[in-house]
Parts: sequence; structure tokens; C-alpha cells
Amino acid sequence: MNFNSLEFGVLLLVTFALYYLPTTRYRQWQVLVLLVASAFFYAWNDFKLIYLLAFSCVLNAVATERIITWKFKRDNDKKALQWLRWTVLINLALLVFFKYAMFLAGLIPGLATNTLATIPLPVGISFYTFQGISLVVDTYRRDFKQVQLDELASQGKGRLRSIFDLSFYISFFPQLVAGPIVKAREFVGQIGVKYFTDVAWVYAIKSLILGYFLKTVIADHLAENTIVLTIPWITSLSSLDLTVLLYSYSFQIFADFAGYSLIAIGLAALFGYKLPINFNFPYLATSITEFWRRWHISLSSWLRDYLYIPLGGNRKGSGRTYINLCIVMFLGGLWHGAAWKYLLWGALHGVFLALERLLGGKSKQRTKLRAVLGWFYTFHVVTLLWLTFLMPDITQIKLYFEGFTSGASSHASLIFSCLLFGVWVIVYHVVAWFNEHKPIFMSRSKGGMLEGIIYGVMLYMVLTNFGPPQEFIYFQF
Amino acid sequence: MITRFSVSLVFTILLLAMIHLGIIRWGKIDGVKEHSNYFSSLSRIETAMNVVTADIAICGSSLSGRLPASENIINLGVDGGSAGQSLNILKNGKFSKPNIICIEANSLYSDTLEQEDKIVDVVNSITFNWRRGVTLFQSHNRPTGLFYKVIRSKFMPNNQRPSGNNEVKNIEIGIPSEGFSVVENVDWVKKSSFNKCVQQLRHIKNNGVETLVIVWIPNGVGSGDRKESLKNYAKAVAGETRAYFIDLEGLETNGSIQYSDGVHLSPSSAEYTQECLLNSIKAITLK
Repeated sequence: MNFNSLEFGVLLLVTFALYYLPTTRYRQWQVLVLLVASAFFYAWNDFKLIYLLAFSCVLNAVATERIITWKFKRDNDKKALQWLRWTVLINLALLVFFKYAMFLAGLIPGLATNTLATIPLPVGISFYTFQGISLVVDTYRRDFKQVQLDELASQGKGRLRSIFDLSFYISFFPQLVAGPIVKAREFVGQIGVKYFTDVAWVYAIKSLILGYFLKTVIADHLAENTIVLTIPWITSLSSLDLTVLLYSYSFQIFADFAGYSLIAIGLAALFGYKLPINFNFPYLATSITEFWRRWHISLSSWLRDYLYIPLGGNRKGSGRTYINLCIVMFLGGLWHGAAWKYLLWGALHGVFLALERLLGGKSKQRTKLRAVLGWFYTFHVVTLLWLTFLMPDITQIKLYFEGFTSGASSHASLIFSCLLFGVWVIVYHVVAWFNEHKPIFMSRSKGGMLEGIIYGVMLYMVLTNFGPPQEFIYFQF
Repeated sequence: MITRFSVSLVFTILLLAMIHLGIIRWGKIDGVKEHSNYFSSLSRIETAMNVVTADIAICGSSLSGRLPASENIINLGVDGGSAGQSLNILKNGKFSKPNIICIEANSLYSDTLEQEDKIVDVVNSITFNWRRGVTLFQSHNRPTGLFYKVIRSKFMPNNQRPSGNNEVKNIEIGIPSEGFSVVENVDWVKKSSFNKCVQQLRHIKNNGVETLVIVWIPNGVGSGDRKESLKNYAKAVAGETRAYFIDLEGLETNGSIQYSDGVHLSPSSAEYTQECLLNSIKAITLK
């Protein structure tokens, strides 16, 4: 179910009304309402997939209780570690089976892959699997308060409540299929009774308006144009078209994913939950390292906490640090999809991260010129690497570069459309730059009339000027 | 804070709605073609749905989409689409039933006749039908679409009325002989696509449409050989389905047809082409 569909609007209204029913302000009721809504949301397009999600929820909830019991009540770390390892392994096995089986089988010559081709790719499996792993690892690391640990490992009636709570954490519909990936330690503590009067309305409305504006007005319009970067249209594009379209895709993927994340954050706020920000104006980054602190923050921090640091991080010498960086980015690329192009994309980012570390050393000196040059390099490297994301295969990437010598004439309406919508992503980042560098000047416009006008314009555009409806790009991951 | 924010938000929306309505009413911005192919096509569909009694339906891609609609002509040209998609829309949408269907020959080969089409789904949706009833939400009134149309009308070259008369002297009209088939000799044509296409057109004929016309629309793309192959394909379909074939490319020989972007007819040339098409149809129906 898409956030920009009529059926989602109905589901949201019904869920919201039931959630805040005045006579039923009970914790279990509210969790149950959101669990049922999440199940509806997820099962809407393919009912069968709900079984896998349910299995993931129960598996991780049971494992959490077992880990708490063995580690903190019976003081048996060995058993707890066994539970942790097996749960992580099963989570990863499910992910590999449903997402990578076909890809891996394709690597073995002569192996028939017909049966594997029929395995459906469950939407959002990469997201909820990572949340499941986060839950058991955070539990094992004792990242929860004692009260929470007691609640999560309670017996009798409390057992069912705990399973419901943890299933709710894994399947909460705003972030279920495309993030942000919420760490268990950031979310589980928030589960509790929520009141209508406590809703952060301005925050929720602003997130929703901005999110829908970025997605439906900017990304969907740009998507209608960037589709021509593929066969058969790509061969009829001029070098100007190709350049404008690549930058447009860079803006589109940002607007699409950041828009989705903002909608998720706004929706969660309507139900009293705070999700972490996922994008912090990534195109302001002055290095690839900084880019990854600003882009898909929830994935970067997940990879840092649950992969990079356990691998040794930067504590085992510089050689090992470079290897760790490359491994993390390589797997980060693979997380996006079972294809060589994602591996290539991740690996290239890893190489740039390692190079920056190697060449940058420990110098913290930042001059204006260095910042400008750094921004120029980062933005263009990131944009160029999006080609691997967009194109179905390496051949089409080659075709893109060959197009620069084709001598075809430019398409004015295509360039017009890209500029008309792409420019708002630039404006969005310029405003953010002023926010970061001239906070006193910008604080005058916050929370008042000017902000109301800006959001009013965006809302009007969402209502009257949305683009051709497209699925969110990150749904496929 | 919430009061100032929400008051200015609501006030801005109301103000924008009034400005928008004013531009729609007094701005004299015509046409359905805007920067988005999707919404240009939806605009044509909205216009077509408002036609009470349609005599002729034009189905095709953006090439025929540029031909003007009128009180008794519905134009269902799909920008970036094909005649097959357009016919699907005609089949599935709520339109007045035309006696004559003109199918664009140029995109007839495209194998989309049985494809699920996003636009077909949208046309039947509740939201589309609700939105087309409200001026501010109609596809041809989108703010950026209006902006595009203004820019286009200011800067678009070659918009002079063609000098030739609109009689049908240079136009090839007729039902190609049955068995006119070069299909098997052309590698880009799939036999299955051809059969599907023929089946679809026969189905339309059997459902009470009096006259089926396959028409070649002048356009600025493609080599001579490619054009010839496409035409022969369309003629073969016409022969199999007993449809009339009209070749409007003859209009180009007058040297007066103009293209706005090197591909599509300019508004004046589109008007002129439409007149020639209607005269050709008149000649057929008088036979």
C-alpha cells in the first residue's frame, strides 16, 4: 500500500480514530490497533507475505525473552549468546533466501534457477530483518533499562503483551517497508499510552507536508523524465539531456527517499512516536564520509553499530580500518539489492571512504576553499555513482557515456521539466545551509507566519500539482 | 506558535486558490499539452469525457494527441503511448460512443494492446472522477502545466497556418486489398502482435462502430524506410479488418506542415491536418 493512495488515506483515518477512542485509552488497545493496521498495510498487495512478517516478529520476540532470561536472570551468558547467534543467523538466512537466493544461485554455473525465480521478494524484508537483529543485539548488550528488560521477559499475561509490543516495534506501518530503520533501544522505551492532546501537531503536519511535497511533487515529476535514461529512449538523448537527467535523478532519489522518511516520521508523530531523522541535507556534505553521516542515517548508523564496530572499527590499526570500511560499504551496497550493480555502487563508496581516510589523515583544518572544493567533489562523485543505481546493468551505463557523442538534439520540454522541479531540491539545501551557517538570521523565520506561508504553498502544490503516481524507489529494497 | 503557523497556512492556501481560479478564468491559457506526458493524456481524457455526443474518436499517441478535440470529436492520444493504449482507454472509460474511430497508424505496431495500463486504472478510479469535477483539481489546470503552456506559447516557433487548401487531393484513401501483407518480411514485427491488433480491431467493429479508419499522421521523425515499413504494417492491419487507410503524409509535400519540436505538429498545422482528416472521412462516408 502506498502512502499516496486513497486506500492508505482510509486506513489512516480509521486507525487514527480507533487509536484515540476516548473510552479506550489503554496501552494494549493502542498497540493492538497499530498492529492490525500494520498487518492490513503490509498484506494489502500480497496476503501471503504477512506470514513471513509474523514469523519474524514472533522469532525475535521469543529470542528476546530467552536472551534476557538466560543472561540477566540465570546469569548464563553462553546460552544467551547461543540464542543471539541463532536468531541473527535465522534472520539473515530468511533475508538471503528471499532476497539473494536467485542471485547466489546464478553465480554457480549450470545450476537451474527456475524454481528460485518463483520466490517472491517480500516488500521491506531488508528493513524489518535489520530491526529484528537490532532488537536481539540491543537486548544482549543490555541497551534497555532494567524495567524494560523485566517487562520484555515477563511471564503469564505479560508474555503476550511483550510479544505484541515487540511485534509492534518490528511492524509499525509508517517505517515498515522503507525505514527509517529504528533501533530497538530508541523505540521500545516509547511504547506506552498515548493521548490525543499530546500529539505534536505542528511537527507532524510539517513533516507530512514536506514529505508529500518532496515525494509527490518533486520526485514523481522527475521520475517521469528520468525514465528516458533507460533503453530504448536513451539512444535519442543529447549530451545536455544526459547531463541534466543524471542530476535530476540525483535529486529525484533524494526527494523520493527523504520524502518517504519524512512522511513516516510525520505519521509516527500522529500516533505519539518519534522516529529518528533519516536525511540531514546530504547534498551539503563536503566529503563522502560526511555524506554517509547525512544520507540514510538510520542505515549508516545500523551498519556502524552492528557491523563496523563488531568488526573492530578503527581500533585494530589503519590497514584493518580500510578493510572494515570496504566490507561495510560492500555489504551496504548488497543490502540494497541482489545485483552486481549495487555491489559495485557500495564497493566504490567504500573505496572513496578509505581513500578519504588515507589522504585526509587527521587534519581537521577546514578552510572555505577546502569546503567548497570538498562539496563539489562529493556532490559530483555521489551523483555519478547513482548511475549504477539507476541503470539495469553495466551495458546501459556504457550506453549512457556513449550518448555524449551521439550528436542528437536536445529535448526542451524534458529539460524544462527537470529544471522546474529539480530546482526545489537545490533551494531546500540552500535553506539548510543558511540554517547550519547563519542560525541567528534563519531563526527569525521559524515557527511563525513565514513558515506557515511556505508550508501553505507546498500543501497547495501537493493538492493541485502532484506528479504521475510512482512507487517509492526504496520499496524494492 | 501553532495559531500563527496554522492561520498563515490556511490563509496562503485560500489566497493561492483564488489566484489559481483567476488565472484559469481570465488567463486565456488554452490547450492540453503540458510538460507532463501523463497529465497531458489525462487532460485529453477529461475533455473527452465531457463530450455529450461524439461522432469520431481519435486514438493514438502524442502524434494524434495534438489534433484538436471539439464538440463531437474526442481525442484520446496518449503522450509517450500508443494506439493500443488509447484504444484500451476508449474501451474502459465512460465516453460517448462514437460512430467512427480513427486509429493512428504510426504507433499501431506497438505491442501494448493487452498491457495493463496505468492510465486506464486511473481513469476508472474514484479520485480521478472526483477531481475532474472540481476546476482547481482538473488535470489541464495544474499550476506548473499552465506555466508551461504560457512559456510554450511565447517561445514556440513555426506556428503559422499552412498555406495549402484542406481538400483531399494529395491524400491516399481506401481499403487496402486483403492479404496486403508484408508483415512476415519485416523482422521487427511480431506475428502475435499483428494478430492481437487485428483481433482487437475486429472486436471494436463487431461492437457497433460503423467505420474504422487507420490514419497516418505527419510527423518529423523516422527514416523513409522505417516509415514505409510502419505504413505497410498499418495497411496490412487495415486490409485484414476492412478498415479504411488514410495517408496524411501527402500533406507534407505541400511544404506547409510545421512541427513544433521537430516531431509533433504545431497547433496551426494540427488544425489544418484535422480539417484534412475530416474531409477525408467525409469522402469515405459519402461513398
